[in-house]
Amino acid sequence: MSSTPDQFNICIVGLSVANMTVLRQLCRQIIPQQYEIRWVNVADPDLDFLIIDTDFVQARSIQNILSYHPVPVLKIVRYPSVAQNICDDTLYLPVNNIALLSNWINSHLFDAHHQKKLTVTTSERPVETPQPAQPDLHLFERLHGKTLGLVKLIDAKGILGVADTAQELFWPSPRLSMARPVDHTLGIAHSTNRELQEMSAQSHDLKQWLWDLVWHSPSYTSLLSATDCVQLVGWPQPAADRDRHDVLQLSARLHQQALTAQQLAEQTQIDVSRVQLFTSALVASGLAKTIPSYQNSHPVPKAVASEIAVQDSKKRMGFLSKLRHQFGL
Amino acid sequence: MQRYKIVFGGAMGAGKSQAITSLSDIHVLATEALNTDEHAHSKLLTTVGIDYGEIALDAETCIGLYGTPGQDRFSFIWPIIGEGALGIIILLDHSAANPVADLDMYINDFSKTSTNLIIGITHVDMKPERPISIYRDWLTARQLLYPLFSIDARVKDDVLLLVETMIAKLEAEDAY
Repeated sequence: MSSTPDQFNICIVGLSVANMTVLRQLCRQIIPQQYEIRWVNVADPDLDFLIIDTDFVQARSIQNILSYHPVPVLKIVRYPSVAQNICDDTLYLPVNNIALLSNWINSHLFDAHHQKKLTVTTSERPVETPQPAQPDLHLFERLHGKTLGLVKLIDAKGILGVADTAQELFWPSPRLSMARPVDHTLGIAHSTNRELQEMSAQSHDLKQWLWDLVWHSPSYTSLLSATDCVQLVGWPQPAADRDRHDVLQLSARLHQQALTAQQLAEQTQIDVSRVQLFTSALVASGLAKTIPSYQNSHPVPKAVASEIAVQDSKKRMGFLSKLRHQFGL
Repeated sequence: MQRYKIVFGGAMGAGKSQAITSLSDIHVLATEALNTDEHAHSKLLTTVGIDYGEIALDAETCIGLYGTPGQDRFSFIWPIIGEGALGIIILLDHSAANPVADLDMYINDFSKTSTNLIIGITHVDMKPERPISIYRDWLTARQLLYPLFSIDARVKDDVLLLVETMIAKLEAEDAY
């Protein structure tokens, strides 16, 4: 997803969850509502603004990024004794006077963004009509790269947990309910071992956890379209609830061959929007990938099967139905 | 009487006997002996023959639940037990010394007998720092796609997840 003139891509690095949450809220308060804010990784090519703990500013990776992608940088120092002060692009926490921060953002961020906006307009790119915020598949692709190291998943309501992308492990926040849906405010940022220690001790499989997260987030239904063809690469593990039957049915069909959400819905008689959420969750979690539709060969119609095969199949279906009934499946 | 078969294969100590016990309508016939292979697993008793349990669906239909002995010196018997099964559930002990080598061995053996293989990973809580992705990566590298779930073999609902997956796969196959 590329940055648009009505959007700010902001990254916060090296701060505690509490400070990060406060700064995110303040940014949202200061930046006019017509501008969408995306919380992005520091390596995001469309980064507009970096908020960073002073201890991290001189890190080689940060300096490398800033050398080829200069953006306004607000450094953060956690010394309460000089609070309410911004000096040399450095903000001293806690923020008790929002006006100082607001002035800094107006003078630095909007100037830089205005220039960017002019560049976009003068290069004769069509001006994009503001769209409602959409979930971003690119975010999940970055998580599966295995190169990000420790990252935290965050949304407007706070931190969801910390992921080790190399090991594909995830430690949820102790305050998080697994069923909590997320929306387009979901983002990732670099994390630290200190933050990791504040998470639940019990680790989870990252792909499985992402699948659960998106599967319980209806706003991600349109992450894929109903006509995107999906190829299964791993089965999601359904929870022991009413979802299990549908999830296994859908997975088993996709195990047979790559299908679109529309085709899956027709085959299983499950509502297409529910199937679309299922395929979106699969691709977001890395348990499936989209493939070009020409690679999707249609199944051979059952009608060509011999009479004996049909009888055998009927007998087996009857037996499987009894087995389901026996265990209440 | 129609008789069907579900086979539980996999590593020693992974919970095959427990899984069969959790489903069986009858008292499970076990052939356990004192474990002399403490290098492979520290449990006191291990299956040296076949575990057998049964599910009676009605007066005409019965499912035999067969557990194979886990030690690889009994591997000659695995294809014999697996022959004609509706599906084979492979259980692996996540806390074992090298569970990926176990996966390699059991998949290689049982895939010759059945295409309907379901993998259950047990004892995940005993080795939380070891990621589940090691199994997925192994399967992906070989372009294999088998359902793979973390389960507790003592919990009937977890074992039923494996059975329901097997059913769903068979139903999907029948639909084509």
